[in-house]
Amino acid sequence: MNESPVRLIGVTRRFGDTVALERVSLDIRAGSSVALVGPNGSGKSTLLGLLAGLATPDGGAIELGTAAGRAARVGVVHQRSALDPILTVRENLALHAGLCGLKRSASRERIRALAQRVGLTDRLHDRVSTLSGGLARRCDLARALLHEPGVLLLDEPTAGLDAASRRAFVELLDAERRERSMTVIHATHHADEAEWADRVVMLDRGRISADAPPAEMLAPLGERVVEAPGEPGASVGLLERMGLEPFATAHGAIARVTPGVDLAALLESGHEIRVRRPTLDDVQAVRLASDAERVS
Amino acid sequence: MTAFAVLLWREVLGFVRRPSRVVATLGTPALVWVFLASGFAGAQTPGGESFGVYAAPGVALLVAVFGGLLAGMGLIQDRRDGFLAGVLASPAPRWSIAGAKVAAATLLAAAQGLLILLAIPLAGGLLTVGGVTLASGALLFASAGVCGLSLAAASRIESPQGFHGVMNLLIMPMWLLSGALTPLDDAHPVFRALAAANPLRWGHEAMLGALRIDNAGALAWVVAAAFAGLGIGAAMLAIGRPARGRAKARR
Repeated sequence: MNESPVRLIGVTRRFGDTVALERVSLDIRAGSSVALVGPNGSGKSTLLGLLAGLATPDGGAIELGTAAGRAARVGVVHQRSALDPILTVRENLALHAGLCGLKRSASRERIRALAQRVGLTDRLHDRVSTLSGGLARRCDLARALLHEPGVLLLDEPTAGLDAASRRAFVELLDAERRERSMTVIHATHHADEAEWADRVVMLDRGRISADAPPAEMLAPLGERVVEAPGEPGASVGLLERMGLEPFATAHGAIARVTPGVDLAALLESGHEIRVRRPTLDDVQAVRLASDAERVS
Repeated sequence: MTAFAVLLWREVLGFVRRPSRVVATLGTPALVWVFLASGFAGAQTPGGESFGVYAAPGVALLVAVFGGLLAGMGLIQDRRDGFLAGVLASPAPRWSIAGAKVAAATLLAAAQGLLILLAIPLAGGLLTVGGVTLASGALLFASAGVCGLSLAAASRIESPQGFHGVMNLLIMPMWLLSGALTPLDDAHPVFRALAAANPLRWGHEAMLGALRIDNAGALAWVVAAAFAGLGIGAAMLAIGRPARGRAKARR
């Protein structure tokens, strides 16, 4: 029995002089969900591209298999929609069913069932160019599920969607994963999307900087953090004056709530701060700050 | 349906649903033909027929050239839109993806070129079923060569501007040196030598022979067929080759 249908062994990928991935090794359990997070250029899309077979590593090996030991079927939802806007939803799905080698009768049935699952039954005869961003992404998901893949790869599938569409997409994806027992590898910029995964793999400059379940990754930040939104430098200064140990983030600064911190007094200080649950974005900010400190 | 069949179907459907592509491929050559036929109405031609009749195979060749350029642009567009990544990441064999691209581009270009040939009677020429059938074969060879090379180039060039520049530099001189506008028998020896090495010239000659506008030997057909093979082979190698040994599924 193969417990790890997806395995990367010391995978390296270069683009000219740039090392996009450096000796990355990963074992991913069958039926689990893994979120790949990291800043732009950290190697998330490169890793997914290698798994999808769009490129091959310069070093190391990639193994894709099923629990039964056969080659895994892989479905991919790309960062940009892989649908032809001039074709209808049904035509696009039929096209991809053909690419997956499905017989016409099986493809018709699969398209009908999937359209129902993703809420596109009423739009099957509409051209993809007329769909909203959220619906187009659902159609992309249906396309990737047509051949019932054992491994589903998603490269920032919710980029550009509003919060409601994003949530709807992630809920749909989670339901599909549970029902089909698929292995899901999902690159995302959104911390809330990564938190539903069984495991979070953080990439930084082509290397794995952290690899743990979300709860374990969040644990060092405690139950709550104080956030000061605004220009990061000024926000760090503000939290320091409050006696905290801040870390700069993309939108300001955060600090752990350590024992002895008088939260009520901080909130009444009149400064624009808030207390909230920590997120994986915070974990990433703290890690980047710690790395920078180590380097300096 | 097989991967080859669905991709062919998609290309044809996409062509039909984009009238601008029909106009772009057929419109300009048709206008060129009308202007040439009227502007050189009194010009002497090898077989004594009107210039409009003489120029028709060359204009059909121009349609094939434009068809090839648009096929290449379409491939670049597919790559930019993300459609190509979806196709390449599918379980479909790469040869069928490349083959469908070349087949669709060739058929569409040749079918439009055929419309020009069928319009020869409008310029005062005579057509026979056998002549048109043979000329269609030569046109198919030329279209396959041009479309294949164009797709091979497009698979390696990122920007539409770069692709257009390269193809204009390569394909348009090939068309001009094919004898499409004027017989090359009295041209400067350098141009005659270049024309002899130009596969489009042989495809054009094969068409002229098929339509009995001028004489064509077996060599014209052999070179035209070899050019088709070269184009198809180039596209299959460029698009059909897996990205340096695709990730392996092992266990």
